[in-house]
Amino acid sequence: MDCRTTRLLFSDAQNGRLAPDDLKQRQLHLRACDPCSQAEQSESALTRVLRDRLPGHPAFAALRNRLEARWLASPRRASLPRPRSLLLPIGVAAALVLAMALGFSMGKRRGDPMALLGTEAVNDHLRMLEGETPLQVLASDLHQVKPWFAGKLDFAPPITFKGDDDYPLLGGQVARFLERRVACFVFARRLHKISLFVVPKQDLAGPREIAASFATTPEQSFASRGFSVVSWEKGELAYLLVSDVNSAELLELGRRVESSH
Amino acid sequence: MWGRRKDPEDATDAPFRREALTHVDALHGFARYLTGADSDADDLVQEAYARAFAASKQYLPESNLKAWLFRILRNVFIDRQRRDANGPLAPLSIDDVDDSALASAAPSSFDGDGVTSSDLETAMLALPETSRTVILLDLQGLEEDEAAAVLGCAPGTIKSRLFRARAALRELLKDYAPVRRLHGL
Repeated sequence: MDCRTTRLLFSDAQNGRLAPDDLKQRQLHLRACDPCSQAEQSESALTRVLRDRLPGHPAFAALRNRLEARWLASPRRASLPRPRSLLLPIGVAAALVLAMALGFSMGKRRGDPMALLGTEAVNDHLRMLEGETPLQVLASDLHQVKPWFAGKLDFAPPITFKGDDDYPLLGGQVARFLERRVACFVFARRLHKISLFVVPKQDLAGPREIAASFATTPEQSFASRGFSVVSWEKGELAYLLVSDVNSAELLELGRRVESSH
Repeated sequence: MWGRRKDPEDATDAPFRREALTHVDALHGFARYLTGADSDADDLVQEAYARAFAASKQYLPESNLKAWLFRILRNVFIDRQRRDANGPLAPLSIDDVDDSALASAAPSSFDGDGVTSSDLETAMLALPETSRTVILLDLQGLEEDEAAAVLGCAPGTIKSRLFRARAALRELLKDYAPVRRLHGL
């Protein structure tokens, strides 16, 4: 086997698509040819980087919901596509009307609006955990993380909590939260990871109802699919913490974040 | 490589749609690297599914559904580019690059150290579309004939296309990592 063929067959060899004879010939060539051996190492490094670090950009919950509503609903309810910008408000409005018709009082208890936020927060947190959206800036120093967001968001997340021994800062990323680019800071608690989403309140779906559901301090938590979620608001921004740590530990981080403002 | 489904009624059933929708993450990722923007990727995915379900009679159940959906999505992307007279010009095709010496020249080393996700995404988006696509299809595990169907080329050209695309990506990435190392980042 010559050098050219050996290098062209890299992907086939990696993916187990080579016949045993070809694989053997290729291995023999690699042992005898230093340039090809070096090329093999570079190819392997590239594959490793692509598999480990290339952001996967999976679909966000809103797109999934739209597709499922259109294509998995009963035929009578299936309808022509609507402009994307209209769908979310329509969906949220419909959910609110339904919830109110069922006797829920949005101002008195955490009903559907917060459940919607909790679901989205958990989805985004899971994407981070599963490495689908790896941390885009890895740093334990807040002075590296905060400036990294400059130019990537149309607001500045006013986080001043630098992390500490109990909750070290791991890094950050730009996340998509209800189709909005938001800041996500990631902290650790022992072996657990905690996402802190900073979201402009005005961009949240159903702003009046949701805004009414936010506390002004991180004093309450609720559960979503087994994860703890803590939310609060300050000024024009809303904050959501989500993790699988217990709610007391999440509330404590919320207090540290809030008290450092 | 994709023929007609034997029973056209099956094409519109919920199980088929449900199975097709399980590939939404892969499709969205592909669309995101084609368009470079989440909102455009969302639109592309939605149109691709609409087109796929409208043409589902042409899908053979024993073939690779993900590959079939990828081909449709890329066709939607190309159609949109063609329709958009004011859109960006098509980047240089990978086939226009002279690579005759690439596969036998002494390689420059690449270890991937210091390459971040952000670097990688930026470099991928800097590649010509066909290069990006062939790398993504390989990462998705598509076979050569499936990738060739997506790209509209002969299966025999996929190996060399992939080789050239990866070489170009490595060259781009080498511009990032040393700068970061130099600054101790």
